[in-house]
Amino acid sequence: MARMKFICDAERCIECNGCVTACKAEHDVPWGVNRRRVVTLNDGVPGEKSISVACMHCSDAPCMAVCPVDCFYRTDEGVVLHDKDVCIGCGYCSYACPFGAPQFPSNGTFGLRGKMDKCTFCAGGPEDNGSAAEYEKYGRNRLSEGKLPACAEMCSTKALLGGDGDVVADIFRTRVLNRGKGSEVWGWGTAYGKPAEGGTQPAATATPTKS
Amino acid sequence: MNTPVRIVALAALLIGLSSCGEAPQGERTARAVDRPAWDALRNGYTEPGYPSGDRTAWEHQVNTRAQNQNEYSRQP
Repeated sequence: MARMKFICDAERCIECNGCVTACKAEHDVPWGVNRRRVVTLNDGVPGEKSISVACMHCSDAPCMAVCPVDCFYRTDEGVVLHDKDVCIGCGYCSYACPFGAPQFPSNGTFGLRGKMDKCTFCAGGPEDNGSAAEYEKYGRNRLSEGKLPACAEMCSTKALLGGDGDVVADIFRTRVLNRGKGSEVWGWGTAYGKPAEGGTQPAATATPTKS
Repeated sequence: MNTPVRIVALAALLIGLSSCGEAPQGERTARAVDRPAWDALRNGYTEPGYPSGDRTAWEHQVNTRAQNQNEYSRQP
């Protein structure tokens, strides 16, 4: 089993924000927190591109490196998760993350910043899989239910691909070969470009290329 | 007690009471150990036909489902 990864195909994203809505609905994400966002580059200019952005579950996650209380961990499937019972809401991860993934609810007393919340790749948290405690803190654990992230599965244009890195890279590669353009994968090099743990092959070799 | 003092006292009381709604923090300092994704609890949302608790079956299930994102494989 390879690592779970996201690919956003900028050639296909139509900025419908369906992924954002699916995520919020699936996990009952608190008001003011967006685990996933759609960013449009050169908005209004012909040739504008939109990309769906969330935690990319990086190979060498900077959030894990800077967390002062070591609340992050990586699952066997390569999903970067965190323990909200350990998080102190300091915000260091927010400064370290190149994707702006960590979110902080501000609904506590006097508007205090709460514990960090981010995309879990629909894999929940350290609580028992599928438990009410897990749902309350992290949302639904779709991976343990044999499903993939809701954002990717419901994407109407299949711009957002999520799943095993090898499988989604193959799907994207087939797509690029058929259309003959748009091989750039936004954020892929930043998230997965460094050598994988314990391996000598850089993860970026899986990057689909135009031939 | 005059009115302004009463209002200030009431506001202070309300602000003080609002902290009662805070969830307890700092109960745990060591990170909990997560269970693997394939080691699922059987709940009403598990995909039908997927045998929970089997790693190989889970990987097959997830990879098969990922192919639903590939419209080229659905073409005749």
